[in-house]
Formats: sequence, structure tokens, C-alpha cells
Amino acid sequence: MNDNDFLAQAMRHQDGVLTPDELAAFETAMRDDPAKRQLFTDTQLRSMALHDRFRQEAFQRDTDTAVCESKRTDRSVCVTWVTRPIAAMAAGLVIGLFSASIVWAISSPKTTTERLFSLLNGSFAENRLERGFPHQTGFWSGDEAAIHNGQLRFIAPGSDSGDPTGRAISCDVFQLVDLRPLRHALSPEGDSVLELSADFRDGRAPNTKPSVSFFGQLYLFSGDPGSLHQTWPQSIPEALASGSAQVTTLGSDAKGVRTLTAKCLVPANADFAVIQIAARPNLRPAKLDELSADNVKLILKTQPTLPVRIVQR
Amino acid sequence: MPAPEDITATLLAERLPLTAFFASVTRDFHLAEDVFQEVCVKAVARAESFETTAHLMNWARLIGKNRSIDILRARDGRYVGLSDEMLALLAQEWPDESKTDAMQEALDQCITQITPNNRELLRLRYFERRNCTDVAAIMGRKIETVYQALARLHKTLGDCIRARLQTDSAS
Repeated sequence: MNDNDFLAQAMRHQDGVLTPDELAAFETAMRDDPAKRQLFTDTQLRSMALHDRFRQEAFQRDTDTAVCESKRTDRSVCVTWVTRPIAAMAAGLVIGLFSASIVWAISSPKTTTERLFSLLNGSFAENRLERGFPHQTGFWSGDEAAIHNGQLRFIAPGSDSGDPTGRAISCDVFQLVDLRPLRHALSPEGDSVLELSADFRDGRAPNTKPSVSFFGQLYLFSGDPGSLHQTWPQSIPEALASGSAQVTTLGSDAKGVRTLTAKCLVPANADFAVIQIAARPNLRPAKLDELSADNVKLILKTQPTLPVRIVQR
Repeated sequence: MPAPEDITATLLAERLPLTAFFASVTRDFHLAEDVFQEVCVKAVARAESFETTAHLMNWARLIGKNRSIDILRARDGRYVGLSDEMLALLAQEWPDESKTDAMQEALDQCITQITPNNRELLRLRYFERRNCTDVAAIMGRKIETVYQALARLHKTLGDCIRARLQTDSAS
């Protein structure tokens, strides 16, 4: 098997379409030849790096034209961010978010507890939505969007105030969340994970083009949340940690509402989180009709140090 | 014995090589990232048991591989993929971040040299997570042509990255 044939088989392996005989031959080639193992390793690393790179690029304002304006004739094949709750380790857990108040109840935690962070108006019950990157914590703000019937409706892509010459490729809505008041809830061992989840709905007719990618992203920073708007999005590389989830849709389909979950480890020196939910048409210009988000939640998962209790504030 | 904060820092620095290894089992980059997060949480919880960084990394690859197989078995009812023996062999030789960091920088340069069509091919594959059947339908090509094109692209990028790394190390 020459290198080109081997690489084509590596692509089939990534697709999971190798027959048992082909898989055996693929393994034999690697077992017998260290150079083939090296080729496989390099290909996997490069594939993962490409995955990272394209995801990062999706949120850079100077995105390459080829990415922004690609002609799309794709079928209705959607991708979803696969997640499984780490709460599989937890027993019995009830959490609720009601407008601006927070309620959580923890019952019989064995190894993990969950706490809902003070993400406000996650169910879009209040009609407060401002324009531009937020200057303070506690409210939604971003590109042209509207809160209607308890949902956030994306209306139009916008550029960032910190980068006014940047191309408007997506409709982004943000909320800054102060993590410092809840720092005591972080496990002293640092094994705390912050999880952002949100429901996204593409209400357009089935197979409507262009495809739209929904994103849920969270970034953790140290420092003053009030000054981040001056440097956003150039300051993204300064994030202490980040998580991202995305899904691409072509109008409504049998899968209905998509729930995305993004998560990241919480460094002990994280002061605040940037929550970003976005809709990005994959061919521009495009109107963002019938695209909405709802039920945004931010959850901290950590090991318990406290006995069972119910807290309301 | 590394401190818990050292373990977190080590694992975050090793994210790319670890997730690439897990993706060799899951064949799904997003799923591999989920496995990575679980491995991080488990590693910090048992920080006292790691004697060295190498011990931690070996443990992370093993636990992540087992977790990946468990997930696929739970999801699909069975695991079909590289054998345990082959994954163990690959794990022994898997690179760490000291090599992958330079590779990523070289990749950023090399990807600017490919054609817009090839770039779109990679984007569909690695950003939109399309398999080659979908990519072929979207780009109006035969499936076999897409597999060959991807193989050639990986070879081109691999050659370019190697050349850049050699130039960098020589200078």
C-alpha cells in the first residue's frame, strides 16, 4: 500500500466506512511499517488541527472570502455537538432558573454537584436587549436581534465595535457573567467545569439555503469585565479557557430544536465569563429570518464539599 | 508528584495530541473533545496518584481510549475500529505538544498555499464534519475522487509542514 492509498484508507477510517477486511489490512500496514504508523499519527494530528483552525476562523472578522461566499448545494445533513453530561456521575439533581432569580437543589450528590450560575434572563422572559458588546455583566447585548415571545430572534449580522472595519459575518449576542461571587463554589482541586447550553431553532422551510450555523461559545477571562468591550474580539486569544459548540441547519427538519452544549475547565483565576450565542449564514448577504435561541443556561459542575441542601436567592 | 494545577496545565497544553488520539477511536472530533474534558476532570480528582508527567499522559491516553470505546458501545451497541493492540502501539509512539505546537504554526502557513476549492473541501470535512459521501454530493464530484483529493491534500500539507519545520530547525 503506497502512501496515497494509505491516506485514502485513513480518510475512510475517519468516515467509519472500512469493511472488516479493509480495516484488517489497514492495521497490518501500520503494524508492519513504523512509517505508516507515523503517517497515520500525523494525519490524525493534522485533521484535529484543521478542525480547530476552521472553528477559530469562523469567529474571526477577516474570514477568507472562500469560506464566506462558498456556493452551497448541500443536502439537508446537519451536524451536532455531541455531549454527555458529566452529571452522569451525579445522583438526583434538580436545577431551575426563573428569570432573574436562581434556585438550585442538590439531592444525594455522590461525586458531582451542579450549580447554576447567575446568567440572567436565560429564558428571555425580560425584554432587555442592548446593542454592541456589553460593557457590564448581567444583560444580553450584541448585534441586531430582538426578544419576542420569550425567544431571542437573530435579525442581522453585525461587525464588532472594537473592529468596525471587520466584515459582518454573524449575528452575535453576548452576556458577561461575573464568576467571582461564586468562586467559593469552585473545588479546591480545580476540577470544576463550566457548561453553557442553549436551544437553537431554524424555523425556515425545509432545505432552505443558505445553510446557517448556530454557535454557543464561552470564554473565561481574568480582570475587569467592564473594559473587555474596548478590545473585543482581538482579546479572544487572552482567554484563560474556552469552549464551543455548533450545529449547521438547512431550515426545519425532523430533529427540530437543537440543543448545543459547550464546556470548559474553570481556572482558579477566572474572574468572568463571556457567553456568546450566534447565528451565521453560510452565504452572505442573507436575512436571518426565523432563526432563534432560547433556554440559555450556564452550569458549574464540581465535586461537592457541602452536605445536601436547597438554596434559593 | 505533580500538583493539581500542574496537571490541569499539562493536560490543557496537551489538548491537541490527546484529542487527536481519542479521535482515532471515536472518529468524531467533537466527541473526542468531550472525552478530553472528562479525562481532565478525572485526572485532577486523582492527582495524588500520578508520579510523573509521563505517568499522567500514559494514564490519560488509556482512560480516554477506554472511555471512547465505552461511549461508542453505548451509542452503537458495539465498537468497530482499530484494535486494542494497535491503539496501544500507537499510544506508545504518540507525540506530545512540543511537536504539535510547531506543526500547528506550520499548518497555518501551509494552508494559505492551497486552492480555494481544496480549502472548501477541508472546511466541509473538518468544520462542517461532512463525510466524503456528503462532500462529493455538495461539490459535484465522485466519492472516490473526494477520497483521493483528500489523500493528496494531506500529503501536500504534510510535505509542506515537514519542509517548514526543517527550515525552522536549521535556522
